[in-house]
Amino acid sequence: MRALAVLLLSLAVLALGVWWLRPTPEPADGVFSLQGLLGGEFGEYARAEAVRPFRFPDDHGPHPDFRSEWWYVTGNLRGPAGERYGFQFTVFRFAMAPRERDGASAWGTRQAYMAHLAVADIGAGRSYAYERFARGALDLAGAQAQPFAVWLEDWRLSQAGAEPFPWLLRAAEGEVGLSLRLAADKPPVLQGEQGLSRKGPEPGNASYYYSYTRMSAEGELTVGGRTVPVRGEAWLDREWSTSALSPDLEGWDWFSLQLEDGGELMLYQLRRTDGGASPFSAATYVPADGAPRSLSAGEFRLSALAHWRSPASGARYPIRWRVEVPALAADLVVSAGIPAQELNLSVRYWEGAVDVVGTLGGQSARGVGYMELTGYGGGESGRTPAGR
Amino acid sequence: MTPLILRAGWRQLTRYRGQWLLAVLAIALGVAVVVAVDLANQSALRAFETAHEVLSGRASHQLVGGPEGVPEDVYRALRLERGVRTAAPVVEGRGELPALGRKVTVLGLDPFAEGPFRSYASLGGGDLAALIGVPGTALLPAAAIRALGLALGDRFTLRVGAVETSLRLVGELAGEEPALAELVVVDIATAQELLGRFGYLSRIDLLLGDEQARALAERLPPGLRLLSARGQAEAMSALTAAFRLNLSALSLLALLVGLFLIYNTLSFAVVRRRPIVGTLRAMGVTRGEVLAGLLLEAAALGLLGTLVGLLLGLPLAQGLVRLVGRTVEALYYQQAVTALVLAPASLLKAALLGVAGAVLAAWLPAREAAAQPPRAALSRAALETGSRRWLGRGLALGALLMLVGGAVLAAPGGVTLGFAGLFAVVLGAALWVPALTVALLAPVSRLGGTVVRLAGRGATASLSRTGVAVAALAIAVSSVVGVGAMIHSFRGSVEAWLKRTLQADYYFAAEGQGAVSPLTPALAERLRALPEVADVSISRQLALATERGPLRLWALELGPKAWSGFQFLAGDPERVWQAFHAGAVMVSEPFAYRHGLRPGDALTLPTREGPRPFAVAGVYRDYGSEQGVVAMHGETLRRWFGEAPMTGIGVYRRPEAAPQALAEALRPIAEAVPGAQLRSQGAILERSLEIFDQVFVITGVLRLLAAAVAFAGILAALAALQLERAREGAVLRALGFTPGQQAGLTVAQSMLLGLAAGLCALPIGAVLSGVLVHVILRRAFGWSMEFQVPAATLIEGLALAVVAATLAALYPAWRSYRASPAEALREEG
Repeated sequence: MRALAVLLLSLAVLALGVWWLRPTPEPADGVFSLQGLLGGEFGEYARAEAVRPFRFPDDHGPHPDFRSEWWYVTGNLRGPAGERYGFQFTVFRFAMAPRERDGASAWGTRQAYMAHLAVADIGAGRSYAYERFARGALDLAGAQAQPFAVWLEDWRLSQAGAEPFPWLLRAAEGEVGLSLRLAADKPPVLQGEQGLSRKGPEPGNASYYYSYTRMSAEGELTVGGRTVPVRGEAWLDREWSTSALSPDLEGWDWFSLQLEDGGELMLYQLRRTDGGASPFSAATYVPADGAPRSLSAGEFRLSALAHWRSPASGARYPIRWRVEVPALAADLVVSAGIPAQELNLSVRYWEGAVDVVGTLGGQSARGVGYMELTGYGGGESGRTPAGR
Repeated sequence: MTPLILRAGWRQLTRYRGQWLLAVLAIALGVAVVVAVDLANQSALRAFETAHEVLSGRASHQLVGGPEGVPEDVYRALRLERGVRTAAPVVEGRGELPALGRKVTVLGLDPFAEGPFRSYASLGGGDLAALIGVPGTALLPAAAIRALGLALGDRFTLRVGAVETSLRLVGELAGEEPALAELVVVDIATAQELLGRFGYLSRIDLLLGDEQARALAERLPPGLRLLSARGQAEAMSALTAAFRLNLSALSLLALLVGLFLIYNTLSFAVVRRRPIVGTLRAMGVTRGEVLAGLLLEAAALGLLGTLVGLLLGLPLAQGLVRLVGRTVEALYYQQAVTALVLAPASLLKAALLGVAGAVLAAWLPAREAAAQPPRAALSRAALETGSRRWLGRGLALGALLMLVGGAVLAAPGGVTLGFAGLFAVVLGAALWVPALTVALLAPVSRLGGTVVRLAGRGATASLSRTGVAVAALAIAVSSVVGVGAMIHSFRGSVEAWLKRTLQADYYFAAEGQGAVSPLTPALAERLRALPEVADVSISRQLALATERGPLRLWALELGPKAWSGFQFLAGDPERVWQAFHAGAVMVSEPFAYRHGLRPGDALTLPTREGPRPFAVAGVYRDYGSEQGVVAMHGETLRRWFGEAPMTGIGVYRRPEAAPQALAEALRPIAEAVPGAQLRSQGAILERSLEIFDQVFVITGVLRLLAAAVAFAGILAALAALQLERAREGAVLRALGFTPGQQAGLTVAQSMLLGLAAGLCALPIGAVLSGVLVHVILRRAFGWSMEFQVPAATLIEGLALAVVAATLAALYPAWRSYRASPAEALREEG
């Protein structure tokens, strides 16, 4: 769940603003208030208020009446000599107005797109991150259900042939490039309550959220001028919503863990400003075979074991965690493959490949995964910590 | 340096306070004019640069197309297929904020692509989502928001052509740069909708390395051109260089007059101080010390004058900036937002000119005083003979200067060289003024009447002290005459040209610059069908962006009557007419001058099928554009450049139809076409001359400033002279002169000097205006014109000289009237 749609949305909107006005100082409080900007108009957008039926492949496509939406692919890859890589490719869609824009210009649209591309070269201890923005017009960026495609300029995630799967992921910029074929090894998992993932007590403060928790990935990866064949496993998160981050939350920690026994564990905790975890934190365990099991906030515990301070931003991220899920007899340690996997972009956060070791169901367990840490700021703290 | 000489200097200062004050004033005025013009020029230049910067941002290149612009698909291909990331689409047009009566540039941007380009388009408290996601939303600069009294979310009206649209304010442009004040920033989609420019972009701004640019230029879609932004910015400033140089030269003239006055004041001080210098030298003060003391004094004077000049210059610059802005706008069709830019370099330059000029002007008299042997310095006769000798030397040096200046003017060269030649000639002529004055006053001295004779002889005798002031007055008056005659010639030529060119009885013009003109071929046909109408002509204008600034194309479809409006400076009209219809082009005189074109030459133009040579059929007279225009037949434009919007329709009355009937037939048609403006021939003529006069307001102001400097100088010289002559006056009084006679003598002397200066100034002024018309304007703007020196200007100049001299004599005359002869006689003089 990277839900918390709104925080990210807020950050993105702010980021757009900040990025456009980069050389000028950020406006004073109250002038460009994100909460104010986002607060009033929710009613005019579609909202995630009730359980709904999911239909595929339709739901792979965009849901333009919701305020924000994303296609989020992360994965761990290995090269021919067994060297490890992590990758992330995300396309965000934001509706800037609740109604379609009238007007005769082909440039006219109410949809904005932002995309992030990141590659971690674990062996070399380096990571790379890039971002792009475009309007959802003139084919500069867009999304469609059939045949499935979502793209921003020449960064593109789309279905390979007539069948809904496999998908192709092609994106390159600067020193990195990805060309991967992604096959769905397992059916989609509806997160939360049949796909309705609540983020707070208010109705509508929720998202629609599903995941492909295990997709085999195969193709080529370019990093530092070298292109190598790679294979590995990826994870797709799809989420759309119209909601705002509760004022008492400062960020979240999200984990997608793929274990060697064929099971997957997704956890997220919403961190309150007072240091505790929100009761709307949640987790899902997908056993190697069998039905996914939802876990509530009280059923797991996350504790930070080690931290790393980013030299670029000064933000201090917890990069080693202990994950305890008594109901699954799970006690795992999650560690960053390399500490330096911060995305110091318009929206600043840490997202990177991790290793997992420990026990699950009384047996030793190991695996790989991805971790996302937001709201750790860069020396300051506040309600929109990553928005600077 | 011995304190003795400093003390002696100080004593002089305190004793002749009024005179020194006037000298300081003369320097101050000169410096003020120079600094004000320089600041105004710098401000105009800066305005150009910021306007360019604001619109182009940090782009290194621009991709431009034909009349329609760049197809928007090109942008997508650039990003998606060629992977050019640093590219920003721009849709730009002109509009108006009716509430402020102000023309604005409507700048349509894609905020998502703007990152590397325009930083000001930021959202201080703005709503980016609404700007993009909601139609009819806009950003305004803070100044416009204040002026319109808007708050975020309020609506305001924008007019494009004839269409008024209500826009919602969703944010404020960051920054207070004056160039921003003329901007309305909207999303690119909104811009297309406001300007009616669908499917096309005005241009694509790019940030490319040399390698990238080359690669892109090699594979451009047909009809598109890649321009370097740097070249364009340079072309912009080169465009106005000539204009700015003209202003600088005029301001230097004012300073030159000021320097003459410094020289005058100092040489005068030296004269008066000869006895003291002689005494000092006799007491053992060395020559070097005397020289140093006098120069130090000059430097102090210069510094004081400069400081006052700088203070005076700032408010003056404030006023000039407005005038320069107006002129630039009228001459170059460029918006020149002219806020005063305080360039430290300008201030420093003026300060150096003031101080160094004062020292330099003092050098000659100071050296002469120091060079005198102590005994000679005590004698006055030595000085008078010295000054007589100087007259002869001045004549020789003046002749030499005039010869050199004439040679420089005759040789080919740029505007700067032209001015150098002009200055040499004027300076040379100035050196002749004292000798000419002596010659002119000689008959007066032989006239009857004691007072008149006394006045004539006195004026001649005083020349050692007043000669330079008279020369300064002559230069100032000659510049008044010269510039006046130049403007007269220019205006006369423009008026004659307008009368010849404006052949149609009525003109329809398109308001604004929308991509879609309210004037259509259907309208033209409808006008042609009117029974009162003999013919219509159609004109279209197109500005193609090129590396060397915009290239103006003018496409015409016209009949013989309109054709008769062209005055060909080169090319046989009959043959030009045929070639013109066969696809050749004609160029305006400035264009031909700038590009060295003659009939029969080939001119390569960037067509939509790439560069193509066009035959130049003729060169015609045109004062409408300083950059020059390429005129071609409407069909030629359509064939090679594409469809350009119609900008004007000329309507020609049938000789048998009543003018009133035509006016009544046209009025309802004009009212039915929104955005079309109907103007009569007379109204256009009137308006054009009005603009012309506006352009030359600044020149007129500078003329007057030069005259003011000269006036101050004459005043200073005469006041000094009168002080000097106090004893002589007392003797006259003792001999029976009444106070009134004596005051009259003072005034008469001064009037005679003024008359002499004025008479000398007339030929100098005529030469000056001839050089301005035939050399300077030709080289600066490429215009040729009929040269005329109107009698009124000459009389005006003469009157100015006499009146200035007379006025300057009033105060000294009053002083002498009030003086007690006994006291003056006691003074040792």
